[in-house]
Amino acid sequence: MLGAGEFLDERHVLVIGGGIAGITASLELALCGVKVTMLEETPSIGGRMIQLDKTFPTLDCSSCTLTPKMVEVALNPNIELLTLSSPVEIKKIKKGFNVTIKKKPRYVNPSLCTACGLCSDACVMKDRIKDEFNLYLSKRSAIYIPFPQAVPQKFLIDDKACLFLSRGRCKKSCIEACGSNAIDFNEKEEIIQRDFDAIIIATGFDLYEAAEKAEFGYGRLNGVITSIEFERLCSVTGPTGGEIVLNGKTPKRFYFIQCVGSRDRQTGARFCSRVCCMYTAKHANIIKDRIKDAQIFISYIDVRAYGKGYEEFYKNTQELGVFYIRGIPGEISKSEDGLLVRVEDILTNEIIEVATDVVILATGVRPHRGTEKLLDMMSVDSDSYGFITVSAIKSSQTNIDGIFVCGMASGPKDIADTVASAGEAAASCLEYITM
Amino acid sequence: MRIGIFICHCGHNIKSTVDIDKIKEFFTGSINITSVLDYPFLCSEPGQALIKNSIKNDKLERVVIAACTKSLHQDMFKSLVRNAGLNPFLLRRIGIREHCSWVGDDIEKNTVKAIKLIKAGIYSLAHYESLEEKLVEVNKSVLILGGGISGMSAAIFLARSGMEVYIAEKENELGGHLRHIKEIWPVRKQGREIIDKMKMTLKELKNVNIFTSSRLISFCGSFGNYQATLETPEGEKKITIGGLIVAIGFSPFDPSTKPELQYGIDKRIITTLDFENNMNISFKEGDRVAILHCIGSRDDSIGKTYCSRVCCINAIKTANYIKSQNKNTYVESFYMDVRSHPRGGEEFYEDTQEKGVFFTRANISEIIPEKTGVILRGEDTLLGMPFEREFDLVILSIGLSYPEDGHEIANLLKITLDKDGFFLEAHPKLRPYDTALKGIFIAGSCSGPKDMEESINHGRASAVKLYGLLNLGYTFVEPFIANVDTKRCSGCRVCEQVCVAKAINFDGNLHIVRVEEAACMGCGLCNATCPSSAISLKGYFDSFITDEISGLLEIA
Repeated sequence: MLGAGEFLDERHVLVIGGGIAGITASLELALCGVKVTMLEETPSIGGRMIQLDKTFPTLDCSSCTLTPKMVEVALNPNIELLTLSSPVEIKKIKKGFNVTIKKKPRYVNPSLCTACGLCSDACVMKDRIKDEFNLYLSKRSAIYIPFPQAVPQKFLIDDKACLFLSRGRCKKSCIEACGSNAIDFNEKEEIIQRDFDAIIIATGFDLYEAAEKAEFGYGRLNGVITSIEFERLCSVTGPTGGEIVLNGKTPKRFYFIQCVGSRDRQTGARFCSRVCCMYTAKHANIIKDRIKDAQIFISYIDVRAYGKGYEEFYKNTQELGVFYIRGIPGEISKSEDGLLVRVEDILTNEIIEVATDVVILATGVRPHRGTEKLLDMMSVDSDSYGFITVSAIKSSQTNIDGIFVCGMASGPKDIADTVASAGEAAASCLEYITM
Repeated sequence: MRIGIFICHCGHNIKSTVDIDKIKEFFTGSINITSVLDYPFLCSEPGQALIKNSIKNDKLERVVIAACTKSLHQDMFKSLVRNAGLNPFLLRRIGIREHCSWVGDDIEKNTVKAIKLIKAGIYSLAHYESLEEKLVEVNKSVLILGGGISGMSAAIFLARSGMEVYIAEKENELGGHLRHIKEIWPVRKQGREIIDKMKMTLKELKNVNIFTSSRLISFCGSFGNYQATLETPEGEKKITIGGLIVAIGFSPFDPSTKPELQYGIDKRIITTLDFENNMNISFKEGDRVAILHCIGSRDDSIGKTYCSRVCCINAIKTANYIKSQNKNTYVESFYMDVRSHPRGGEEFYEDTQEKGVFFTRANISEIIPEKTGVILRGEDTLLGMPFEREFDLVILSIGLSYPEDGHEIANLLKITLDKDGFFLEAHPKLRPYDTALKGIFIAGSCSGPKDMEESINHGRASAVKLYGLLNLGYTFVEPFIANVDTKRCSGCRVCEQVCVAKAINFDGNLHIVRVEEAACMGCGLCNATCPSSAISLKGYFDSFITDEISGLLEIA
């Protein structure tokens, strides 16, 4: 290992994923003088955390804590940020790796774009394209910025939605609107080849497809939504500007179901997703704060309030008048004025029926789509669920020397645990590249 | 003077309870106010660009940022101001989020208060002056308090990175609680084995200095140059260190403080830790064992409302172990919620149930030792029925309590404890092992219960952060140093006595004191003590405060 004071300028690490795990690992490495290339497949870094309105158990807003870190990534001279990019081939060379990266075109020159938004306003498809950042609950233009605090703070064109790029026919009013000539329809996909000394995988997670559990009626019954959709509904940058409004009305009766796609062999997941108990309690808190006379029920198996301040938060939620029912409903049906939840309360052994306006499904965690392909590329082992297998002593260590993992890619974690695991990954990576 | 005011909406946080337009209207066009701008998130890239451009284009001489509290993102905003070409000490932060919008729902009152606070800030800001931060070298050495798994993990990383490492452990050997654990789940290794391997690694590293049976007795200085005194069996040892990691762990909950548990009175009632220490207990056919969860956790009656995070898995592990020893035993675990959240924990819980361990959701009301066995009385909260059952052995799955010497160390280091006596982190999510003080970290269970993997993560993650800070080789020291008005100084030397940094020297010829700038920490003690008001602190003058007060008292 090198001596104190020596800098590691010549070392170069690839971090795959720009969520809070990738951001933390990259910033730690950059602080130690290591060059980092961060790959993010979407147009902006921020990951899942930036989609959240508030975070448990302190209820501080996600943006307020994460946004400065995202900006830090953008400004750090040791970090090169490649968005819309993902690895397509990874070859082992000596101690390091040769990586082929595919960078999708943005169709907007980032050095010219000022993020003024005039192009988006002028776009023919304005308010006609479903917005993925808001879980398709709002609409955007074909030329857009994913969310207000996006990093990089640059617009891009959705090639599938853009009339010119998909059909070759459009009056291209965006070009006219753009005062800085930033739009470039001729931009092509780029293939970048680079050598890296080590790789950190921080690909994060996706959420369980709620529609797979047919009995809850997601996608079939109006009023059944997922927690992440609810998260966007609460958020000030969301489709309703933070007002909890569904189908044009403020709902009064809420029913949460926990462990949807967790601790459930039927769904192929025996594991606990570790965050759903707490984010549900958080949602109940947010509702009680914004809709004073709301009625809230939460169905659970065990309440896993294991982290610092979590138990107190759970208790506090109960004290706000939120009803916890031990037992997961068997079915949800339509009723005259909304939805009807039938559930056996295991504590009282009674079958109860609860009329509600909204059912919110606390969907569990799954490995991020596409992780499997990525792991195959590197021969990294994963468990039966698809989470990366790690050592219990060094939580970032995979079966391949020089490839490390942090965050949810190796299994469910809350934000605090993700941050610690990212720090550990940075430590292990630093040891590897300097020893 | 050209002052720019920037108001942040902070998403909902400020905007929904403070009338930002009204604030803008109030200040726009006021004397000395050049620009008044607002943005949804000033900390975002476009928000920062807005401030930067305004400083440049409007040629601002002073900047007011009305947003979150000063303790958040201060470095970021300071460097932003600096990069825009303005001295960062000409920035004033007003915490309208914490001081106005989070205080109440009354928009009108909040807005009036926000206006007053901003106005007061402007009044004092007028006196601000450009200051330069001092560049000082840092010591590439670290003190780690506590030689458990977390501290050792940190020590190994730092020593390998070339830092001089000191470990102070109060026990006579390294290893902490893990030494006593016979089988660690899920690694299925003995604690001793893991500890011995780490000890060997530490022994091989030349730059590691281990002090066992030692404790910290004094601490002062600032980041990069902390002075610590250790009390060791060989006498006092003074060291200078760049940073410090507190990894003093936890104390196991002592069940004898709850007499109704009968612990210490009846030998058939033991803790999970006792069980680990006596794993040679053999179980014969028909033996009946009860395991009680949440002993010393989630318990209002003893003021420990928190969950200890690891005891459910400990309980499951214990039950599993007994069943593997003899499958013809009767093992029943009494719980409130089964929190088997770690990776593989849920599967372990299910497998243990399949092995025949009963998990009963219950409240235990009485533990009665009888000749034939220990009787448990309680209520099965799933069946809603009272029960009474007799067992041969009762194992208490005890929780983790705050470390015994936590209070003393918190006082020495001037860091904070939380309501449960654990150390308080700088931010519960994004800075879970940082403290409010630069270069001082808290790792492992001393900031709240953690399992082995989490403790190692904390140790190594805080170590890499500290390495990054120290490896730079230098740091900036805030320029707030004491300044003596030699005309006013009477030479009474009271300041000399209160100065902790020993930065004040007496000039016998002129009969006045002088401040040694390199040594001054800017604590302000001399300033406050001086009977002749001859000492002031750069960047802090009485007029700042008096003018600020007049700003507050003026009718908005």
